[in-house]
Amino acid sequence: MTNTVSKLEDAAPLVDVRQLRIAFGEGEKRVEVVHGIDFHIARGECVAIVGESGSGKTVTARSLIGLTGAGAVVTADEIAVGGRSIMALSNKQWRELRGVEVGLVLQDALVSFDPLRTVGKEISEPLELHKTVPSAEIEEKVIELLRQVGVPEPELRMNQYSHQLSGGLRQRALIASAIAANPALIIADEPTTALDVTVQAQVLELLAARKRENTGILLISHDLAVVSQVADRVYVMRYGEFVEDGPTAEVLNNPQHEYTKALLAADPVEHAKGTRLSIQVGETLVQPRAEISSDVVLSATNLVKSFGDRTVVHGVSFDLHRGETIGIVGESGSGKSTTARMALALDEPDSGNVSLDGRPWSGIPERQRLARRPRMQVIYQDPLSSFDPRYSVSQLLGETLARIDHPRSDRKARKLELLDLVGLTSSMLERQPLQMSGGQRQRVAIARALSMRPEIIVCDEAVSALDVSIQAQVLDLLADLQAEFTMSYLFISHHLGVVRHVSDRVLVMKDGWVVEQGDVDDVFEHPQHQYTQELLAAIPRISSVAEAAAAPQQRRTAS
Amino acid sequence: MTISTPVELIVAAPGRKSRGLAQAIARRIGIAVIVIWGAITASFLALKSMGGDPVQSIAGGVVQVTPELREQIIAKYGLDDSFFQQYLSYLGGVLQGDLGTSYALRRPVVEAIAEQLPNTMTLLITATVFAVAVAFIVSLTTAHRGKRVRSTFQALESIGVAVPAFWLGIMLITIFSFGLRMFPSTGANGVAALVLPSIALGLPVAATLSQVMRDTLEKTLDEPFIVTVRARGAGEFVVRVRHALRHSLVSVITLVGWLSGTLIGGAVVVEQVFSRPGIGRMIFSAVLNKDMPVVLGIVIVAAVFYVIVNTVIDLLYPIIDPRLR
Repeated sequence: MTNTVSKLEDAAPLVDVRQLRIAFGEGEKRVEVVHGIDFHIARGECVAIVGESGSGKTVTARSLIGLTGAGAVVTADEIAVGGRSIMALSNKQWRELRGVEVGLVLQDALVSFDPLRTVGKEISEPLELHKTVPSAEIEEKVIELLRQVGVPEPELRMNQYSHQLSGGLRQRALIASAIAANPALIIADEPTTALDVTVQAQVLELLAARKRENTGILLISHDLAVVSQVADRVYVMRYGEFVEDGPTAEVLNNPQHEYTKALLAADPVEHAKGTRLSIQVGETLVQPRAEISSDVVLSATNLVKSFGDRTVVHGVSFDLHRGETIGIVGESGSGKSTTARMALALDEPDSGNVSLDGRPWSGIPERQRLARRPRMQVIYQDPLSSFDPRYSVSQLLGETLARIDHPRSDRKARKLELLDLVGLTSSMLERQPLQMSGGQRQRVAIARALSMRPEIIVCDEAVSALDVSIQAQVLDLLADLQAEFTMSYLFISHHLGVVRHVSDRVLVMKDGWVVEQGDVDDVFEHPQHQYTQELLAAIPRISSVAEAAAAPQQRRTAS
Repeated sequence: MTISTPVELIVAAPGRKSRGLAQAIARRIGIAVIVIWGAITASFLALKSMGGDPVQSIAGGVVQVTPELREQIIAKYGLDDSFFQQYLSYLGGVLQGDLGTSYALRRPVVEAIAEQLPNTMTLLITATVFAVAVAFIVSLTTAHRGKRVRSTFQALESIGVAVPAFWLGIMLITIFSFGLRMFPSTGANGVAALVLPSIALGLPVAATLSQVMRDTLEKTLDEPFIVTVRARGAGEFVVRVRHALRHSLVSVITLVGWLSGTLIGGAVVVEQVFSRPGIGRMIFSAVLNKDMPVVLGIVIVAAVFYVIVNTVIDLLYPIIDPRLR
């Protein structure tokens, strides 16, 4: 490390921030969200700020480009980019800095590109604004940029709109637009959060390539595994303060602070089923597990489904036993959600059939299913979209209790019992969905599903939108409930770590085909199909951090 | 089989596309026919149930209608036919482009409308352009500009929507014609005569449009991609005009489509107030005179106008928003 430090001292740091404080609101309502933090980034260095939503990491990053938002008050002893203080810039000076000295890559390119303009126009915007390239050469430069970030057929892609690109290409194009004017610093705010693992790996490699070109990178993420892939140093942020910082390998392999330890423990990748993810003092690690019986509760045979002339599911079969969890894993477009919809009888299979408790479930009129519907419930990624936003929790639960004719006099008691089951208190009853956090909403969604006393719960990306520690709590809750009520889960996710943690058996899907299935440990430890092997290889793992971080350091020492 | 697939795709794709287009056109024509037919039928029913003596309307200035004259008129206009027969023969005429003869003007309705229509169209177009321009400027400059600016303009817009066109017209005439002598108060001669009527007709529309536009602009300005645009170094003008504006156009043109019907209704009042020749004034006097063929003729013209405007708008959607293609 000493070599690295001496190298950093050669030049002025690219970013130097001292005693940064950020507050919102005026007068008595002012709330400070960042409480005097120091950090620095050297040229060609990738520094990560890790923390959960609400920790202040995004607003910290935005303070470097003056986009903290209306009503934010930023104070500091020093904020310097490229050796120049940026504490008292005029609007015009900020505009000259943005895009040229600092580029920003946001989380999801689908919402980070103007959907009404072609990708080419979006990428060329910083070039036009800063006149870095003569207008006659802009098109050429856009093609070159797209090629640089590994977008095939750039001439074709530049005339397409962001919704016409796949998630991976879109994120690459977004990076191309951020680096168009060749900024010395790139801020990447959750750049891979919305992506499948293989695409995530490609985007991380792209950032690493920029680093080798001597660009500084500020990576904002909640995912320690992602951070471990590219970051040289890491700052762990909680409630607006850094609780720990240091070289990535040291922080992740030898965490000192409780919060860093909790973040690391919450990552499901490293934990087999039957261990708790969210550990609290005095609790045991071992989780009770449901007894898997030989009864088949849900059976799918050779499900095929086409939309138009595109077949999205080609012959999927599985038997879900009582108390068992089957994981279905695959990238977006693999047909996993369509499979779930057929299992739920929301879509009819073109051929093949589904049976519930040994009786037909597909291919029958809906009214014959109605009485059995409560037996199978579903939890989606975003409960907000399935809740009426004006309903209170009490009304949301009351609706489903009425559906199953729960005695009116007992409904209040049952609501409290349900909230208790999912770890919420009675104070939640009068809250509306928008007044709750993402984790609380997901708990209400689970309570609502449980109110029907289901035997099967289909979880369609149920924890994908949650922070790791919240995700850990929800996964623990699902496991506890499974053990308590001997429920069966069909667990759909693109996140391999989550699937591995929750599942007994797993189906790996690609382009509508099941390419591999079997016992979860067999599949994950001895993958047979090449696609499964690729998927597994692409998962960022914290345990590999020592080598990953060691490599660039050696290179620096050598130079 | 794998070899034949791309060939199949190439052969099949254009066929499917053109079939889709033909279907869409057929559907649109079908809807247009239904709208126009519905408008004719509803007006026909309403006018017939108004009662009154059509013979008296046709005879017009003749104070005493003699029985002979009455016989003549009834025979000439087919007034002794059953209601249904009259309805069918009128529809038959419409299909041949014949809208009948005006009772009061004693000339073909088609000819009378053709003479007056350009005046009204000019008024409608300038009023719309004025309304859209005002809405653009007001909403682009006031979106996300602090509470005070916002509530001031919201109050002004509420007044703008609420003010009746005739009152606004009279105020404009009082101030700018009689007071400042800047614009003529009546007639349709030249551009100057167009200014006040266009404002009277367009201002309430502008107020409605700018409210809706500001809402969509503000929603757009809160979208994550706006942060990306700002992070590229774009100033407020680029953010609003190059990016956010286009997002609000979808709701603007939808509203213009709805309001095009209202505008025709407004033209009746405004043409009356400014003594401006046009089909608005024509229908006003035709209703008073119970001049049924003229009223029906103008209703048809209004329905056609409404259908054309909304068709154009439907064609604009995919141009504005490529996601709708």
